[in-house]
Amino acid sequence: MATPGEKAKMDHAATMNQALDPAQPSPLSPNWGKIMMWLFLMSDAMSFAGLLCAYAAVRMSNPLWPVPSSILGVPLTALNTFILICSSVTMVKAVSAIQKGDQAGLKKFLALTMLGGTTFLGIQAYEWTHLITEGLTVGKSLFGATFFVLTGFHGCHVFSGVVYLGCILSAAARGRYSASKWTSVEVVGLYWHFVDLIWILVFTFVYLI
Amino acid sequence: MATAAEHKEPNYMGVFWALLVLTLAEVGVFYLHLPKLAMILSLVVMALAKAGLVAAYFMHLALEKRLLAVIVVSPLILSAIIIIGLTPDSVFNYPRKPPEHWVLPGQEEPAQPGAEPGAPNPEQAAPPAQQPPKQEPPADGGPA
Repeated sequence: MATPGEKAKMDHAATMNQALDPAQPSPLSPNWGKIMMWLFLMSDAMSFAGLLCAYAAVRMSNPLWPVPSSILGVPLTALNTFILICSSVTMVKAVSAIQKGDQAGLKKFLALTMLGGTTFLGIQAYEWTHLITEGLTVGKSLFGATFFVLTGFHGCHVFSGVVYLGCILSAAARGRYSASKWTSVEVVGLYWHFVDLIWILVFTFVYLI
Repeated sequence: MATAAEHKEPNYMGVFWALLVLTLAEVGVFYLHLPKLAMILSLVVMALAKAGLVAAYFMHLALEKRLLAVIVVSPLILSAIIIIGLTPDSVFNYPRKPPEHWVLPGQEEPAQPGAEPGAPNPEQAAPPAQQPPKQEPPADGGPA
């Protein structure tokens, strides 16, 4: 017995709720959660671009810059790069597991991704300890400052990513996701792959070149 | 609504092997000790290729609607502006000589009467006792 005005209001409320529900499609893309993550990632990419550009300017205008590999260890970091790429693969496996409704696979691959991230952080902590005991610090040289700021900013992202994955894993353990509801898993995957992508650039520009 | 694009799963293992091969190639190029320009160019190209693979396939950018890719890639124009803006500082390693009338730290007129006994010469402002040698590039003919 709703009047036409009430009915229009209810329709409007229904479309509003639909627009705010991350599982529902938006006109731009399958969902807005993904768009929001992409926008965050692009602002984050601006931060990394600023840091990398500052590093390039400081390094190239300084004739006394050391050869990075004379101070940093390339083989260990190449191993770390490999570990991070593998964790990206387990992340896509987690997403495709839940898209098929495989709860156990989702939990297994999310845990493996977290393990990869934690291993990366452990190796980085070992590397930092080694470098600091050898006398490379933020305060002593511009090389140390740029190195620790760039790898540290990235390491913070890896740490946040492991925490974020832990939240998604605990939600998965409570059965929040299914073959028809897996957007949050895909969104955490976007973040994780972005961290991997940034490391590819940092590894090349800071360690190899 | 599950669109067809969402379920068209890319060949993830193929992307993984490509990333692995590119990483090994990067480390290989690093140990080859190529000429500097060739090394930097090949490393940058391989790194950008890897980043593109991750974005396109792991992050599904190539499989989403085109509009999302446009939204995502367009801010990178700003990165290009940063890079171009910083290029003079980073590429042209020119000797920097400050303008004549600038007073730099450590070159101030000696205010203490006991520190500098010699009378200040109006033609030569540089004090001979503590001249900073690094600020004068030796052989630079250009007026800039």
